[in-house]
Amino acid sequence: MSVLVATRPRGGTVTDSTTDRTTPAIGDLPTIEFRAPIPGFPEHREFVLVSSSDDDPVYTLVSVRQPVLRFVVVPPAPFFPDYAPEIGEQVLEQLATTDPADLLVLLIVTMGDTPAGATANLLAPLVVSQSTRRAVQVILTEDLPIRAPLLH
Amino acid sequence: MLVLTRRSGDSIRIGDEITVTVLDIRGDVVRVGIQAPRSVAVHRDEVYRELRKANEEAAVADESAAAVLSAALRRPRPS
Repeated sequence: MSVLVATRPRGGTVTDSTTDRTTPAIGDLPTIEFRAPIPGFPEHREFVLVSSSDDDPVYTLVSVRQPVLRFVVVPPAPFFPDYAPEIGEQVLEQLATTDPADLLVLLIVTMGDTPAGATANLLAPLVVSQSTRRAVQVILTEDLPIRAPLLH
Repeated sequence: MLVLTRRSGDSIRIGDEITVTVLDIRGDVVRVGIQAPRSVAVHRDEVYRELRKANEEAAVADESAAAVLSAALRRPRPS
């Protein structure tokens, strides 16, 4: 998808030789920095985006600080082809980019009890600059659902 | 909580860079204008709370969540 995504088998781990503890291998992956905290998670500004393979549209956004904090995210296109959020100048400024083509939009998925119950947040997409690796969760002013069924 | 009485057109200054102005009062509806630096996020409180709740629900995804969802996507969808 982009230079931001690290592809590796799910469940890949590294062992820290100093502590002998096994932790998810995220230290060497490109880090995305949230310029404003994701609402609800003020302590977590740095994340990495992990995918199991190049053709898998489902990604995991993992907190660097606390890898047990993770969000499932998807690009909108395969699921909501008509989705075209309006990203304002203010967002470009926060991300320190001027090129809208540089932006990557991702939707946070809430897993239901079954995959059929999974929903995506269309109201507040994550917008990432692929060149500066900065991100923000943008609350759109459009009237969009915060829980839209993913498999609709 | 600090409580101030303001008339239509009056403002409140918060710190050096934020100004809140009462623009219009009609019945129980008040229109408020907010001037703040771009780094300050301004949202309707109920929207922000709802977003925070949705984020908190989404964050509980376990390690296999992405794999489970990918597998479901590869299966033909019921019509």
